Amino acid sequence: MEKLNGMKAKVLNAQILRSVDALPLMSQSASKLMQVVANKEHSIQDIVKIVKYDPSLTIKILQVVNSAAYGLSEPITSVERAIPQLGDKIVFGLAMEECAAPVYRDPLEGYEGESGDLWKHSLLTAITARELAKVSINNVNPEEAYTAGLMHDLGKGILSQYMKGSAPGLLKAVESDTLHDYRAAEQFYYGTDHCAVGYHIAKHWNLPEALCEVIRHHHDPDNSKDEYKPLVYTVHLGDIMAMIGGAATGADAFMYEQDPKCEDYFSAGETELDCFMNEAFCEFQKIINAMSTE
Amino acid sequence: MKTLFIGIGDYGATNKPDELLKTMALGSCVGIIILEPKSRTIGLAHIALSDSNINKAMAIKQPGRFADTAIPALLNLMEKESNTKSGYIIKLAGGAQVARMKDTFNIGKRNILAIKKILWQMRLAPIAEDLGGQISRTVTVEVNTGKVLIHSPGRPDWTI
Repeated sequence: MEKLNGMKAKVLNAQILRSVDALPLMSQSASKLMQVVANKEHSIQDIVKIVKYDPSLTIKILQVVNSAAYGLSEPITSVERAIPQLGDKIVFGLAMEECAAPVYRDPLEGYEGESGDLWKHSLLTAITARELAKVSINNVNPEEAYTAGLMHDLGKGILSQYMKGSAPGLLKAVESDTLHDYRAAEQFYYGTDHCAVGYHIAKHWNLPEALCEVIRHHHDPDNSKDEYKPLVYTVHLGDIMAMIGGAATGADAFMYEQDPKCEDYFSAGETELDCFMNEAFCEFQKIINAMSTE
Repeated sequence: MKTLFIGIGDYGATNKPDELLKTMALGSCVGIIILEPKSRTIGLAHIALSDSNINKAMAIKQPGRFADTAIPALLNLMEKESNTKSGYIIKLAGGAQVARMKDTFNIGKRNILAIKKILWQMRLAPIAEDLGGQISRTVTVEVNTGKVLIHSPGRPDWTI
């Protein structure tokens, strides 16, 4: 596999930036929900107030809550009753789906991933990051960790479109120890990587700085700004736990390194970790089942 | 061909020659495949974690989830389906990890160790295995031939 020369890499980067600029902006509902969900003190009523004025989001929420996975005996017909059933995280996820659909919807051909893989990986990362936040020694907000986990790999959806057919070559480069991880292989061959592309998307959507830092540094958490390190390490490890939990995005599965400083950020032992991974798998499966039967 | 999908924490067995047993995306989870050549019965479990003590209630509901409950449950099912208690051929796949992974977070390593210990205590041993490493594995077993095929994105398929 050949590396792109300087000029070709510049052209490719310009194309990628145009693809990012062409993405829809974040909907008002998603933007408001992100702020509300990040606040520990928020109530269900705060969520209801946002959702009930958004007809397409209301429809989606009612479809999911009435799906077979929730096994309700009587159908739910109001957002006031649907939202407590689903929980605010799922509601936020559904709101994000609208603007993020072009990023999450298509198969990740560049990674030889299938349709829905990126969304599933993001969801399991979000759940494990939220659980890891609870055992963080730095007081990371679990809800913020969840949101950051949901968004950390945004860049893959766009970068993948330019990397079709490259997976065997990139894998070979990492497996032969020529390059230390898949992100380095993306950089080497294409002059950019999914973290950098994700960071452009985050800026395009005006995401808060904390989320931008996570997206940019989730594979090199030690390079993030000090104030955001606990959150970035939480998502870094959540990302890895999602891969080992079987929700990866294709050929790059496991082709990353765990930062050796990870252990300094969490207080969990082996048993505690196994416990919450078990809970995370169950929650993940429940949501996947709900979405697939909607 | 009809495919029986084995999800995380599930297990199953069949001796219908036109069926496939399949389990998707084994990360740190381990797939245990049991073949009984005389009756051509194949069993498969997708084991997520090593020890059922972390959630006894769940282990009763879904024994395939934990190594210490999945192996006896799968062996029982094999006995029912094949009408024999012996002559089993065992193969293992899965238990992946990322590079430089600390032991605390290494669920794959814990799964592999637990499964091998349990098999050893039962005087059983795998004749083939594809364990550890930095690979996601999807396992498909052909009941007719007993062929165990492993697929991982970006790589050619291989058998064990």
